[in-house]
Amino acid sequence: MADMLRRPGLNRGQKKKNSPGPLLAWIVVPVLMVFAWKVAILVILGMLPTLVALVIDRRPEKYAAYCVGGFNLCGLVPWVVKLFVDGQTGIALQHIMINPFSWLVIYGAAAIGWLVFSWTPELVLRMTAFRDRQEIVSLQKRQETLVEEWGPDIIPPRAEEF
Amino acid sequence: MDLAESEMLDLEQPQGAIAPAAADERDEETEGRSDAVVELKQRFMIYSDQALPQLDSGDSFAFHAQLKADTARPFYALLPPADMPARTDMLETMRNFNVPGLLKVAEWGKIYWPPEKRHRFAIVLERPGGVRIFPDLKVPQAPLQEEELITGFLTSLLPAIREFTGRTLAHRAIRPNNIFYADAGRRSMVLGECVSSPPAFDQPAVFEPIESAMAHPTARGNASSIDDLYALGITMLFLILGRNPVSDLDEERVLANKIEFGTYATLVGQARIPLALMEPLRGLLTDDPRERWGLQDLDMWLAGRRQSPKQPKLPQRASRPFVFNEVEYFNTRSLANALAKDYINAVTVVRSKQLDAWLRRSLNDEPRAEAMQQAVSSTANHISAGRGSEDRLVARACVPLDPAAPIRYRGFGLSVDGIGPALASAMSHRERRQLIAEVISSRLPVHWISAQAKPRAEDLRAVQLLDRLPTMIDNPSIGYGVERCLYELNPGEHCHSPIFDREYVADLSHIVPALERTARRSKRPESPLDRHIVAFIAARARRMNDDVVRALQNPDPATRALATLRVLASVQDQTNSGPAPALAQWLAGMLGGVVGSFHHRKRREKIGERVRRAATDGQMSELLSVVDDEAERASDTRGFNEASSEYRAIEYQLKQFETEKPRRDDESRHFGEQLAAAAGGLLVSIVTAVTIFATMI
Repeated sequence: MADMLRRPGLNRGQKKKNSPGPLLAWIVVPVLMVFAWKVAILVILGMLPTLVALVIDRRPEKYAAYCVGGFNLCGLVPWVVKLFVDGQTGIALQHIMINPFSWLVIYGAAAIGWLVFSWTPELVLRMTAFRDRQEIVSLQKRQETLVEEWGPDIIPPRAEEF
Repeated sequence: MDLAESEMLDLEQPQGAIAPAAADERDEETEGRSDAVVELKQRFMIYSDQALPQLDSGDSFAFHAQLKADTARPFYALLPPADMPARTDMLETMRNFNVPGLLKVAEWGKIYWPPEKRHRFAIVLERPGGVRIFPDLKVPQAPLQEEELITGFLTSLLPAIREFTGRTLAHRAIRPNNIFYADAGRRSMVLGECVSSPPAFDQPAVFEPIESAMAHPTARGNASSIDDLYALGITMLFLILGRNPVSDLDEERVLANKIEFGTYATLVGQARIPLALMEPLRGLLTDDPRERWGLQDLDMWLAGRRQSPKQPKLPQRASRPFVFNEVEYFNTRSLANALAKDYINAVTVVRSKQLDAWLRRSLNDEPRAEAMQQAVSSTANHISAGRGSEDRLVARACVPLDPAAPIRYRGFGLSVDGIGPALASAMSHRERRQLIAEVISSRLPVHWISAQAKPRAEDLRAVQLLDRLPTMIDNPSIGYGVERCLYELNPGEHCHSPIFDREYVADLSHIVPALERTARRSKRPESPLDRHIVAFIAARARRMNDDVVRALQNPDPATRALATLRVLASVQDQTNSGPAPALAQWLAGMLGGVVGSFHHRKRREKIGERVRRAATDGQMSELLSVVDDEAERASDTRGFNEASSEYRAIEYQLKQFETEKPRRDDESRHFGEQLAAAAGGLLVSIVTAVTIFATMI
């Protein structure tokens, strides 16, 4: 996991790519803080695992943040919608905040996100390796057939140099 | 006793003739048979158990023979030794001779010889009616009377000699012990055979003119009928005297005396000769061939026209002698003879200016001195170029001193047209063979012919051929060398290959059947071709591709085997030799490498099967077409190249898998992360949509 999140080393002097995300965050978060501060509190507390993923994933693609954030948001969205539906009241926020189930759902979804992010590359790697092995066996079989048909002279004398 | 012997000859008919087997068709299976009777060309039966030692000729042994169509007519077969070339070129001509005074050649050819269990060459001749007139030259006998000599001897033999002269041939074996009484009554005589050995091989030197006597017995050459008349004269002298007049002298002394005093003076000396016979003797024993009596002179004498006796023409005598090895020489012929014999000490003499001075001052022979100087200087140039030797210097120097004498190299005399037979008989004598090879290689025959004032047509023809041979003899490749020279110089000579030690292969058509018999033996050589056989084929075949001959020496066994097959297939086709399954199977075994050189396994198996089938048929051209199929070979090569490229490409791909594994793993992981991120995004979209939808409901 740590290897996966290690920053692939930007060259000195290389500028970070300007994306609209942070700018949007700087606009949306203050607006939310002013006009829907209860939702903002829930979102900030609920999205903490995503923030952690964002911080520890030092690669520019931030796949960990996307994956964990996606699952984290999945766990958070029903509670945010409930807060909206309940009129963004303090009681509603309190009810959600003190409900362990809500945190279980929010952080459990984030944990699943982490698991998915950890396992998917390994799964893809194994699948690719399996496919490669099949391909190698097939190629080796073809070579054996060629040698059987045309004799060992067909083997280049310094094939190992390839 | 003669009569009894004559009768014995006639009575020696085979008792209870056994049905013979066809000689040419005998093979390994039938070689074990004990039949003593063999057939020659289905015309004659030869009885190997009935030797006729009284008719032996030199080293050739005689056996009883019968004409199948007429068993009453007496014949005998002569079997020449394998290492002595017979005069096969004369046989066809001599069969057509229809004159009295000569043993008629009836048939000749290859036979299977049961006592030796191998094939040999045999010549069948009509058997003489009587015994030899002078069985042993060392044992004196009663002299012939003048009348007997003229009517019994000269009149009997002259038609035969005339026949030879008319066909520009020479008998070359006229001597008393090779003349037979034609009948038991001893009224007429016949000349014995002259074909079982090289020309004049069995002639004691005394019967040969000076020039021919200087040559080695195997290298005396065909010469001409004028030399026959010389031998006739010597024979006459022996018969007149009833003995050898120079039996107390060795051959070298006789030769030296002949040179110094002339033949007549040397041989007749103080002997008492009937006055009437002195004239023909002087005429026939003249040493200068241009002055010697010819047939016309002899006819005139027999017709009673007497001529003034010829005086011996001796070589030009010098005013002062030339001293060599403490012996004084007064003429160039004697000196040349001495120099040729002591060729080691002769080098100093040849190089010295004394000889030149002697030629110019004592002999007053400027042209000879010039020719001598030219010969020495040209040889010296060769020596300085590293191409000659002192022996060659002496050999060349002797030519201008005595142009009519044979080539003399290291004491070995060779007439130009005698080089072929000499080489054939020297094949089993390493030193003599090497010596003759050096004579050919150093172009001594060309030098000799250029020194002749009036070269004979036969000598010119021989030199034309000899002029081509140095390049061949100096070529160490198979198909060339001394073996090739042997077969080029002797068109009728049999193949001397050790592979044919039990065969007699004298013609291209004999090769495949002989090899077929060899192939059936349990002990056979590694290859059916060796230097002798290839040289024999190259000399006899109408067409022979030099590239194929060169391929016979290729280090690759498969290439050699294919070249061997090509040569033998060509011979089989050219000679229509018929199927040779054992030989074909022998070759098929050798072709394993050729079949193995096809890369494709199934194609190889298919061709191997076709080779086996073709070998069973015994047709080598068919075998060749199978293994030498260009289309099949091209297809195999193309397929092999394509397969090889494919193998390399796969090898490259496999290496790629190995070397690029970390990169591919990274890519996979990266893709996995992308997939996980996408899954997160997708999931949040779905959950949000579902939640909002559910809330709105």
